[in-house]
Amino acid sequence: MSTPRLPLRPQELVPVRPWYQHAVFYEVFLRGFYDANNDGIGDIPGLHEKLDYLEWLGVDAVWLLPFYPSPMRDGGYDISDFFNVSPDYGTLADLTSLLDDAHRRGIRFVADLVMNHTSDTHPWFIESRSSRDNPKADWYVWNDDDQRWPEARIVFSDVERSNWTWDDTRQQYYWHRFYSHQPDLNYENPEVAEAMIEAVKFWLEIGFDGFRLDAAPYLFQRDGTAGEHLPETHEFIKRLRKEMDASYPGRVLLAEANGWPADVADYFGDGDECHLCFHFPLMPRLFMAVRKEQRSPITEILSQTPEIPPGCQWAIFLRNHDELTLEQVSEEERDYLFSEYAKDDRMKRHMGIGRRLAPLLDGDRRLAELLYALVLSLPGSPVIYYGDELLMGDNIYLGDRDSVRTPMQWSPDRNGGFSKADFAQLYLPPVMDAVYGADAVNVEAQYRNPGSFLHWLRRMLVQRRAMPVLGVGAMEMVACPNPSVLAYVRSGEVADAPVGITNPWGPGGPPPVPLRGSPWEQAPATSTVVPVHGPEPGTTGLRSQVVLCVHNLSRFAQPAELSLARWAGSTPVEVLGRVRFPTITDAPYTISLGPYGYLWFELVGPDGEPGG
Amino acid sequence: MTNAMLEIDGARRRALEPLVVAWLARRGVGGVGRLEILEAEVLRPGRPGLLDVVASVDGRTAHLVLGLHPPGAEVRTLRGVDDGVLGGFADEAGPAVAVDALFDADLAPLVVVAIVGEPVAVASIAADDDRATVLDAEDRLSLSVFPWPTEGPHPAVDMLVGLDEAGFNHLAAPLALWRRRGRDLGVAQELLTEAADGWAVARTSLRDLYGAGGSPEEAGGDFADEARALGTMAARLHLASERAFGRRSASVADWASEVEARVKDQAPALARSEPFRQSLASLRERTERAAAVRTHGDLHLGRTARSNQGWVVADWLPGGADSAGEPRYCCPLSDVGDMLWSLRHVAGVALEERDQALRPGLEGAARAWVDRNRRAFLAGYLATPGISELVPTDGELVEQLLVAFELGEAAAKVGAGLAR
Repeated sequence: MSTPRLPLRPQELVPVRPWYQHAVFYEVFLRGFYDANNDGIGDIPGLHEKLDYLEWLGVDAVWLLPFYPSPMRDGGYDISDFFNVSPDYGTLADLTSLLDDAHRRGIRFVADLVMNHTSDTHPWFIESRSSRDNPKADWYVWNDDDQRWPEARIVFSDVERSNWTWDDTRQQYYWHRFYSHQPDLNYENPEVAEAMIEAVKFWLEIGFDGFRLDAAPYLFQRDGTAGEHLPETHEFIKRLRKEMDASYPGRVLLAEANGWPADVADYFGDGDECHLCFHFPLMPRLFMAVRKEQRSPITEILSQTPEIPPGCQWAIFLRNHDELTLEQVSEEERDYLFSEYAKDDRMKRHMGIGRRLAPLLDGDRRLAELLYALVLSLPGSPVIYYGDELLMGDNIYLGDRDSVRTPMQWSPDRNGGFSKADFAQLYLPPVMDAVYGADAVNVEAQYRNPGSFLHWLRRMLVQRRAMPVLGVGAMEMVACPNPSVLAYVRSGEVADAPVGITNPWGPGGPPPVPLRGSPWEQAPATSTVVPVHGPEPGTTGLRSQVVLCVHNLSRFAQPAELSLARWAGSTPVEVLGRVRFPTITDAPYTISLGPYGYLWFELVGPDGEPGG
Repeated sequence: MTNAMLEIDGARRRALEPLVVAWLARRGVGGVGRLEILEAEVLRPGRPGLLDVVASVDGRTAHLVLGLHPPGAEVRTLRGVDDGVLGGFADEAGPAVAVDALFDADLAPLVVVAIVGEPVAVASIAADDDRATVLDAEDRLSLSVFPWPTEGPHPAVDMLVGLDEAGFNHLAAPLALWRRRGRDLGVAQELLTEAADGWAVARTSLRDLYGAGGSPEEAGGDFADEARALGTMAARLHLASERAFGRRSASVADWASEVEARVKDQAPALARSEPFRQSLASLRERTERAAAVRTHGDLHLGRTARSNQGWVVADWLPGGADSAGEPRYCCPLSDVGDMLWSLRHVAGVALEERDQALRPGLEGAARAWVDRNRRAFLAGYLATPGISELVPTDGELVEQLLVAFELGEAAAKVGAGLAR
């Protein structure tokens, strides 16, 4: 007999955390995800076909890399039309259909938006360069010489010699912070700002749940500065946020601002700028810590990470579509990371390393699990790069960052199941080596194998849903004499069920994996799916949650003597198996961790309530 | 603090003396001859109560914090203590069960509150020996209580505070001094929760090297950057020490004699060896004088910790003082010699723990690790701006001093049974 649930009393009604503070994001490179029309290029209908997979995996939101018309000289980050879909990928109708279906499943979509620059084939630039007095003459940044703003660094210094490039037609130099075929827009011109806001509204109207703002720090330039993180840039983003909040509540802005945490935190404003910012400096330090087998690189950067305003969140990740950037490390650290992770010069890209997660880790699954355990439990919303849930490989012989943009490996079939096009038609060759090729690494095989990395990650995502404190809880380091052990407690008040996020399996976790039947098991009827748009219900019940996370950064087994006296009397319950460990006392709490081992515990008080 | 000092009359003396004797016995001090209760301060009246007692025990000054439970109350001890009860006691609040409050799960937090003034719910024992009992409180601060305080300022506290005020930030900042009638009874410091012991960090590097083979510079756990940073920290310590405590001039030959005496006393076999005698003989012939500053006195890896702010000196209890408690002014290279020996020692200890059959193959790696990290430490030390003012400019003399001081440190550790 079930107990009828009593209505909540008013004093038990509390605001629900916004969805993006709990969400797990999945980054999709559309061109390489799935090719539905067999022309060799991934497309929107292809992604639509794979929504079942994403729902099964348990991601909350998809970050979609640029899908706009583009000459594709920089992976689509060279946009030639802000108001359309590249014909390579499908139509606006295809996109609308995809978003509608995703929303029905409780999956949100965030679009990559390049506001800083366009392709040099964009009609705006073609018009702007045509003369010095055309209507769009000032839509880009022009100058008679190439000496202005010498303080601005050259981002792609291995390719570009200057941030200025001469234009023969206009007989002037134009400004570009990235490739010379990507002229920067001139945000001093109000018409440019208006045009970009118009583009933003266009895509929000189509149904996107927000934007990842590419190259956010560079929108403005000013004499005597490096042209990054300028107040004018923040003012523009605040304006954008205000316009979004007014007409499209619940949508988000995610800043790509590669900088020191204290600088990047400025992009949160007072909670009135971006909702999320990538935490770039954390990522290389995760890799450094496991090679040094010491926690200090991680604890150092966390200690330098400022508090962020309520309603904001860091986005944390292991790998993405770019190189593993080493801009935010010291020279010594960069040398160290190159020597450890890029032993072949061909692995280096710009100021970073163009490799995927698995090859970086020499294919060590234990290490991959450890790093994911960290990303899923450190403060922030995790972002998973497509294919990394399989531990896909890369191809360092491909140019620029194409090394990590090879086709998704769906099956051992032709072209790794990505496309039925002829091999020569493919936008890039799939990885075909013996270790990481589609014969060895693919979704189909891992889906059928409950012991696969794919299933492990899926279980971890389920577990993370059950512990919303990992998204928003406070973090306290736990003292441990062993420098190879990183332990922390996440604690806070959490909603019973985060509203707006699917929790398809309920508290019992996912059902057993079928080995035959429908390709993707659908969420059972108990699933709690709510509309993702419109105002959130806003209130639900609260409870305390305390989670202890312990990680062994060493490839050797380690003891962990943890100072947990604060939680004396609580019992750690291991979250995956619900195994009760001995009760904590004021004495150091000793546990053993296998090589690259991790343990997550929920701390439960004597009364069964969360400890702490 | 404005707590009440108890008048030590005959009755009070008779009540406290057995408790002090019991406390001494717990610390392994038996056969007490002359015992005198010098002072007693009420840190917390009533029950549970706290009474801080200073006594003279055969010429030494002992310091204990008595906890007073009401009769019948459950006594819960912190780890490592089977029975914290010292005996019975009675005062105006009535009879009580007296315990060592620092080891009492309920009273240890009250001691921290009484000294630091901050509310603390939980405390745990982080360390306990004859130098100090260290309580960690809620991962926020640590309170070191000295069981054997010195008359006048405690050298370690004196050095800690002096260096902190001189801008040396490679330390856990002092938060509060517990000082009464000129005696330092304890000190509260910021707790560096995430810090890891320097010895353990070096062992992590060696574990990686011995596990992977190859050269130390190619190993993932290469320690050279850390060793360099340690060298910088040591140099900054000496520069800050000069600012805080001044600089003296000392005879190089005198340092040679001091080392010789130390080695003869603690490692006679080493003192008789020809290489040792030769190295000291050449030093004794030097006629120049050089700068002396107040040094740490025992700066090895185990005294340091790697924190989020970089390397820190975690243990100041040598206090830069000699055995009589007087500030010890010496060549700053004496601390450098200590650390050079420590870098050699840790590699050897890690090697000895490996299977005997594997050791020959690892000896080369160990030597390479020691060479690389000693070089890195020295490079970090000598490259620190300003340090050239404190160390001799004669490279040969520097080398001779380092050899001598390292041998002296080795002898001291052999003498203390900490090395072979």
